[in-house]
Amino acid sequence: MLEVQGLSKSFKDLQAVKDVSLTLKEGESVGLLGPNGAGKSTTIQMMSTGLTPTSGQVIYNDKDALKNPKQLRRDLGVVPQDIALYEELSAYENLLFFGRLYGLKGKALKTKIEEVLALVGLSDRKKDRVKNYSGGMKRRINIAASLLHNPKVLIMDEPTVGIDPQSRSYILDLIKQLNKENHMTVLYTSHYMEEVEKLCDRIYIMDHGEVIASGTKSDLQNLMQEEETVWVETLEKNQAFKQALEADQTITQVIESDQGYKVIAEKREDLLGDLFDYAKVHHVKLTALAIQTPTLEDVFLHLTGRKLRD
Amino acid sequence: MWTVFMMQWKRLLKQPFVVLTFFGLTLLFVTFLGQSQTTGKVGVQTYTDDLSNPAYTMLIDELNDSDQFEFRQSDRTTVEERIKNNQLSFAVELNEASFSFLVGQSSFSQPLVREYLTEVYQEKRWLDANDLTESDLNNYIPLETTSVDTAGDSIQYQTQVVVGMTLYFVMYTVLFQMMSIAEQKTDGTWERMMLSPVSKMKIFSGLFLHYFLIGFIQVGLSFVIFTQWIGFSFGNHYGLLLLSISLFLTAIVALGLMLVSLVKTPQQLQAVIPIVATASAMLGGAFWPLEFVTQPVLLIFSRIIPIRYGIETLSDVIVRGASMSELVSGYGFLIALTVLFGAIGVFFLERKQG
Ligand SMILES: Nc1ncnc2c1ncn2[C@@H]1O[C@H](COP(=O)(O)OP(=O)(O)OP(=O)(O)O)[C@@H](O)[C@H]1O
Ligand SMILES: [Mg+2]
Repeated sequence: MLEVQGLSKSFKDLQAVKDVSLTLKEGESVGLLGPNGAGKSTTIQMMSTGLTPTSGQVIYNDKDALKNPKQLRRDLGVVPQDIALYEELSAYENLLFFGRLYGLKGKALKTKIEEVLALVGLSDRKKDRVKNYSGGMKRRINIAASLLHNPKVLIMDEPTVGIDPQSRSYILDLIKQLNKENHMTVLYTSHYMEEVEKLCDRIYIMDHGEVIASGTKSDLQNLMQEEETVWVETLEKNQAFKQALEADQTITQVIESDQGYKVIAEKREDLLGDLFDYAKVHHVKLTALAIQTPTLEDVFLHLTGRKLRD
Repeated sequence: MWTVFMMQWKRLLKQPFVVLTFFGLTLLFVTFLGQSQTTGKVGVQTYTDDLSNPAYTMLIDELNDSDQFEFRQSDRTTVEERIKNNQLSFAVELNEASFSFLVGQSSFSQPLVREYLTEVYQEKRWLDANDLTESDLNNYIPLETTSVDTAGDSIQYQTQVVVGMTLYFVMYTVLFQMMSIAEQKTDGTWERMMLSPVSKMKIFSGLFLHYFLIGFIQVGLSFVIFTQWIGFSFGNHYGLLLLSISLFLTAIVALGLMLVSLVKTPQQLQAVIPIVATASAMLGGAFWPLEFVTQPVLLIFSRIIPIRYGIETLSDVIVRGASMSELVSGYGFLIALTVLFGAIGVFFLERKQG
């Protein structure tokens, strides 16, 4: 339905996006995952014809959307990363304006505004100025403004950044509903693994401007079939124990967390036994030891050697 | 188009304070300036070689009956020194029966002073009722006689200042209002608007009309103040007056679009506007007649400055009642500049180039 091919973008001497290709099929929910500065927003802006690529193509329904953006613009809803609303006006006035830009008017527009307001749960606050809203409410209106014209494709750039868990899960449920019940094709950008895992059929992982992996969640987990993730929970932290783990040739990653260590290692039979031995040598009391199915977080770590939110 | 237009007004009315302040300040300044322009006196330094002290003082008093000039006493060495140091452009030597100029650099008030003095000296002779001869009379009139219509010059100058200042201020107001576009560019609402299927033509028309109208209201108010409070006359060629103002404002909005499209942040624009406005007012003849700009480079530069043509066409209409055919070249330049600036602005604003 919507795809980009060989998309690149350079800002002066910085290459923000390198040869990125993505595809959205009708009705799909696709995730675009990557750490800060990976080039997600830049990719999305080019995809929505808001930014001219240095090279590459945007194709919508088999037509070049860079040359003829009108059809795509009509069918596309974009939720920008920053709140794109007139703060001094009320939510209602904002929606009125953006609705009119899409050619809605009169009664149809009013009905539609009430509908999206109900959808994002803000009907009772519609007359308030946007600048008096909480962060979560602004985010929700920001989404509402992109839904007025019944877009076929909805592109969202980190719509849950910086808000409370309640608003966040509200938004996630909303997106799920739009995708499953209203059959909107969704491209969802985030650097939260959990969100993408929960929401998306297919996932692209970006880093340093490039797509480094893509596929369904299990495709991506299969990237790690040579490896195993083991959760090592300890009573207290021990530096020597951690160093010993890191020195082991078969262990590729040791990540410290609150209650212990996450260890990613080559698959082998005696791994758990070795972990017990290391603990004994360094007098570390183990409280739990468990093999885990790898998360996308682990996949990212595996691919880049870095944690996603570093 | 009307959607965008109405929206801009709605936003403006929600936060009218800044605009009103700006507007008020402008009008205040324009009023003040117009008044000082018509009542302020031009100082003229004088000296004498053959008049006695009491006679000199009496003559000065007599000359100061004028409400245009203020003659001051000095001496030859002082004024020569000051002229040499460029602190003074000219001084007048007053004698019993004649006067002459000591000129360092030309000045537009000099011909006015000369005319005034000629008049006074003639009158003085007349009243003294001495018998005049042809050759005597020649003495009163300074050596190089040029036939400048000095009264016309004075109106020309005053008009140029009044018009120049009005246009300078309106340029400020309009450009500063257009900072709102730069703000929309950073807060994402601009992109949201650009990504909608509304044709860009309509969006830009709506915006254009909004800023044009702000400018028009200001120019209109300024002119009304000038005529009502200061008694300045704008002639009666209202059609051409309106056309000149409109073409000028169109070019300014286009210039604004270009500036907005070239900056990254509203702060940058805030820094750029005063530079552009003031520089173009200086080079375009809003502060002083364009004849003062002699640098060839600057003269070439002044060719792409809308305010220059705004002042030229408006003063021509006001002072000379110029006809359409005389104004065509000025209008042509304004239209050409509008197209140039507008094209650059729309190109970069329509889609981010990075
Ligand atoms: N207009 C611009 N001019 C110069 N550099 C830019 C511009 N826009 C983005 N960049 C750079 O391009 C890179 C990618 O930025 P982008 O915003 O696409 O990342 P992102 O994946 O969306 O990050 P985040 O998760 O923080 O939103 C960054 O290094 C950024 O500094
Ligand atoms: Mg981003």
